[in-house]
Amino acid sequence: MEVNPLNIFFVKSDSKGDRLLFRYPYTTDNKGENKQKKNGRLNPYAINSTEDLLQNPQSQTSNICKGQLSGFTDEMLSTLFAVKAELCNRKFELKVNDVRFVGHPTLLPYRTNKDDTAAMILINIVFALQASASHSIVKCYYDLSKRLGKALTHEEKRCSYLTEEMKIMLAAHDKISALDPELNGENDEDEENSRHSVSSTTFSTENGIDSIPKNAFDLILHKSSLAKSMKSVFEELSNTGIVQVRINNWVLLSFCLPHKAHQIHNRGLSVEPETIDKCVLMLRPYHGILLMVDPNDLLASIPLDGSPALLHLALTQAFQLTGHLVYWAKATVIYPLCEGNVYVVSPVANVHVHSPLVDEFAKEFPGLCLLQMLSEFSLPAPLWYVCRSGAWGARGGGRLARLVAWLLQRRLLLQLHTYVQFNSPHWPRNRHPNSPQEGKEYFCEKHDSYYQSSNISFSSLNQLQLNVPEPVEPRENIIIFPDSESNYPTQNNLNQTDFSHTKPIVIESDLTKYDTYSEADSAHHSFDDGVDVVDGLVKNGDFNKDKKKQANSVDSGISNNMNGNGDISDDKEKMLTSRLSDVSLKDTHSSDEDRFEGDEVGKKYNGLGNGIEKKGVSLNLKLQSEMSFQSPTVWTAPLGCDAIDACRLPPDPPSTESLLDTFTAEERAVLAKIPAADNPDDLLLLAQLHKKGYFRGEQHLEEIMFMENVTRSQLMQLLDKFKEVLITFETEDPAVAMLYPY
Amino acid sequence: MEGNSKFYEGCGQEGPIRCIFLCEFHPTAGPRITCQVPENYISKEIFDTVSHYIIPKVQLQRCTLTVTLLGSKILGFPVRIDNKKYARNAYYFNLCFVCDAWARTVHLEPLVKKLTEYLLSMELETEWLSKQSLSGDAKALSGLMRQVMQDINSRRMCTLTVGTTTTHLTVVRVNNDPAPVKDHQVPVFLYSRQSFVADQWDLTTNQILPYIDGFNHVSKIAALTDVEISLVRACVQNLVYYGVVTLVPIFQYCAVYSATPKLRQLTRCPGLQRQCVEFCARSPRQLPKVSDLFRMYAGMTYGSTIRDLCRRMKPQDLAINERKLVLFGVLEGLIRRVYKYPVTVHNDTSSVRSSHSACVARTYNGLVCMDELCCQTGIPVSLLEEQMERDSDVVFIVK
Repeated sequence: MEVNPLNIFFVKSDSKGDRLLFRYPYTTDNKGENKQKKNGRLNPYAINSTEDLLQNPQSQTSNICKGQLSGFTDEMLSTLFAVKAELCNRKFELKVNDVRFVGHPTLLPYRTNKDDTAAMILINIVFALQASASHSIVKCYYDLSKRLGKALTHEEKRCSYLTEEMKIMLAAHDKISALDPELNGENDEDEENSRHSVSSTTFSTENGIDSIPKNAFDLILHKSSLAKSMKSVFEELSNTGIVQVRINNWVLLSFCLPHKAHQIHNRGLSVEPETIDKCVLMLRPYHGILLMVDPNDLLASIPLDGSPALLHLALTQAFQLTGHLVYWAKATVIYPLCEGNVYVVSPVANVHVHSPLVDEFAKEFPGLCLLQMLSEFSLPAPLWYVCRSGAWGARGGGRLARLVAWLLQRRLLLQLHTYVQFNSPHWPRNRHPNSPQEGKEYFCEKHDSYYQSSNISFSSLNQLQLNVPEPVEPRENIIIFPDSESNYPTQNNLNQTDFSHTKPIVIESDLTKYDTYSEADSAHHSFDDGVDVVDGLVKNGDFNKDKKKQANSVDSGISNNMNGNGDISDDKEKMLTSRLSDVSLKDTHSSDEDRFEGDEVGKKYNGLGNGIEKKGVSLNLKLQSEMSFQSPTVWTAPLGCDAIDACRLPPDPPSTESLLDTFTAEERAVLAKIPAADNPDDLLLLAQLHKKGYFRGEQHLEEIMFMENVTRSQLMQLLDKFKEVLITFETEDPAVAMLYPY
Repeated sequence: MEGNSKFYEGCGQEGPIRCIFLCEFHPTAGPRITCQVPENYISKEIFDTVSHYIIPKVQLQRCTLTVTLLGSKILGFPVRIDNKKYARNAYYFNLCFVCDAWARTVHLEPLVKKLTEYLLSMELETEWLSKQSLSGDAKALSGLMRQVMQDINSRRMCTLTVGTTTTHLTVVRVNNDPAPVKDHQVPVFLYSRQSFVADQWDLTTNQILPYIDGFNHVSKIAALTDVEISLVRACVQNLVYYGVVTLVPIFQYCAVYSATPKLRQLTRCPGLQRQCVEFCARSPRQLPKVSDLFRMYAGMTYGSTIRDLCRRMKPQDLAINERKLVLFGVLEGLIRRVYKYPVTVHNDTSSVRSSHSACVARTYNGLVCMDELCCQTGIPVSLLEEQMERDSDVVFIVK
């Protein structure tokens, strides 16, 4: 595989010249192969190649032999990697035939043996890769080399670690070459191509640790901790793509090669860091995180000195954290599991009858067949429908949720969303000088303009926040937006406006309010999000509950989810989820019993989220439950309508006429013909949503519900009433689909 | 190095050749540049820092070397000629191309190699290089290098004539091998047929060309042209490699398509809209409306076949050619085909029962979609589906 490294080299260059101090893996069977080659060439029956007429030996086209580097001697490599001082501390990239070497030559001061005068030494840790490896892979390896260089510089400064290790390595090289003086002679005779340094030629590899190893690299590996570190770097890269090495038992070097790491969970899935960056830019507050690993394992892998700041995350920080988790193949981005979600089989799902997934599935969910499950998802239907249609009612909805999570983790399912496009009589409406070529690009390059201009705001969000009742103690919440995070809605809005290539939506009347809001206490924020948390959870509880029908063991079912498998292990991000959940909540049912169930779940989820932060902050569960009991009062239908009303009647209420200005004359003419337009409420909602740019096919229904606090049924009614002008289409969320391997 | 944000390292784009130089190992002065075009692109200082990658040690002779340093990418193919007539008994030289660090250069490697071997043979025959180097007058060489640079940058090909010898250089795109072509796939031209120079291609390709219309699938083309199907496959694969054609799924009224996130592009990009309107029109005199086209695409989703869509929308009334509509959508990535895969699931209970029917019912491993099966067996989809539905072991997965 081109992701794997071929070799790792450690080269130094100082006043005493350059030397390849260590490499891993060091070849042990070079000699035999060379002999064979030589024999082949001496075959008297071999036809001399016509190329010999040109006096030159056949040009070599490959330096990879059986997955190992070949054809390079250690001396040669050390000359190549010991770069001139001008090239230090910058990227070193050299491609020879089909091998690419990448490294970061580091120049650092070190103490020479006797006197304490500082001299400069150049070290270069070089990775050999297949030349076909993509640029982003090369970049990651370069980064790793740079980090290793930094770590060594630090350790050298702290305790002369490098000096000591180099002493060990040089001594080993000297010892071995002193042991086998005759070896040099033999090598010189061997003029063809086996000018291997003494060190890489081994006589016998059977030597145990106690006997004297004949290979200098063997000896170094036994004696030098740096060599051991490099070996483990190489091995971890080849095995998992995740490197956790402590240099000199002091500096922790954590590195992840996402191209490789994602293959642990999904064979054949290669996620490039650039994709993750793009995905993070497209993340919205309602997105959820689906952990790929057991939460306990994740906790165990977090270094102890993890920042306590993680407890109070701003939204952008939460996005970054998400990107981080995705990068490390610990999580993937999904839309939170809801009853209304529509899933289909992912176009790249492996549906081979003998795929290993089939067995894994059978182990995880005894009695079920993966392929049969997938065939149930072959027709797009909301989850609640799947749940009712199958035998799920009896078997328990928690299981279905767990199952969907499992399938999502393996990228077997893909969620479809409904997008709305306002059908104007005049296409194209946006007169932009888009050339056709540019137009074809859907995913724009990362523009700097993402971070420009911040005079955009969503009135609705502010209004929602103004709507919330008494603030609660912010410390108790898991996610708290600090006051500084004033651009929370702005950032997202920017995203979408940029992708839409349309004019940013500026709503002046709200701007001032927004500003004052951002200066206000953080309690609004925190409480609001606290509600979100609980709210999302209530939703989940409902979801499970609904499937269960009998209310007996929701609790255990869910704790299964959480503790046993961690399948639906939502993260903080998911906690952030969605005001929309209240909407679907209304859709289903809202008895007090359900609230209670939701509350139970809420506690568990919160507990988990808390655990992830590893802070052990005691959760005031009582408070939590109070909040979750509050939430229905805040978010049930009547109040939801209030919120809508608030949208419609902002402090400075826009007249119907001013809202209708968003439509052109032709559009108004078309609208006038629609009977539903006679109803001012419907028309106002349409105009409102249209003005905010929701009908450009950018935001799916769930997002509109989330942002504008409208119910699904309201939206569906609107879509139905205005179906002449509103076109819907179903497709995947690009932010989520980006992480799928197609 | 352009200061243009479009060109960053790793962008995967090809860039122009910035400079070509020839360097050699001078018996007294060591590595030095004999001649470069344009002058002084590579300064003496830069050259000195990288010279040991350009005139490398013996083991790296005749290897394609690419070194990325200081914002430039230098491609070379170092060569050594052993002969007593040279000072130090050997003549080392290396012809190098310099590109920007962000540019992709794999496609230039064979070019450097071929040009070097051309120079090598001239050096062996007439000492063309070493004479110019000794005399210090490298006009012929710099003329040749200038021609290569200009022609390759502008036309991607170049014909060099020195004395009586001629060599042709051309840039060939380096692509991964395309996947094997299946019988049910439909080749379609990516650009207009007129710009296709037929006499560059082999006879079989020429024979199948007229039948590549975006609707005939491979086995149909084979039948129509009376060409062996494996040859058709090979020809189509070859055309795919060179980017002349691409493969799309076969058009059927029972086929299901799904809109992709790219579909919203149709609402924004006037160029795309114009293309779409012109392409999907039933007749050039009556153009369909973009909104109707969009509505058609928007109606494509899981569970709804083209037949359903046509019944609902009546494309003929809207002046839309639905076959072309689907083709355009697939080519532009606005929609994607949703395939149906039959899979045989072995239940414990059914294994007993199926023992007697095993001989009649074939098993489906989930790798072959319905299109392919129909093409293999020559049975219409409806019939095949009927057969499968009788077999309770077979489930359908749509993806």
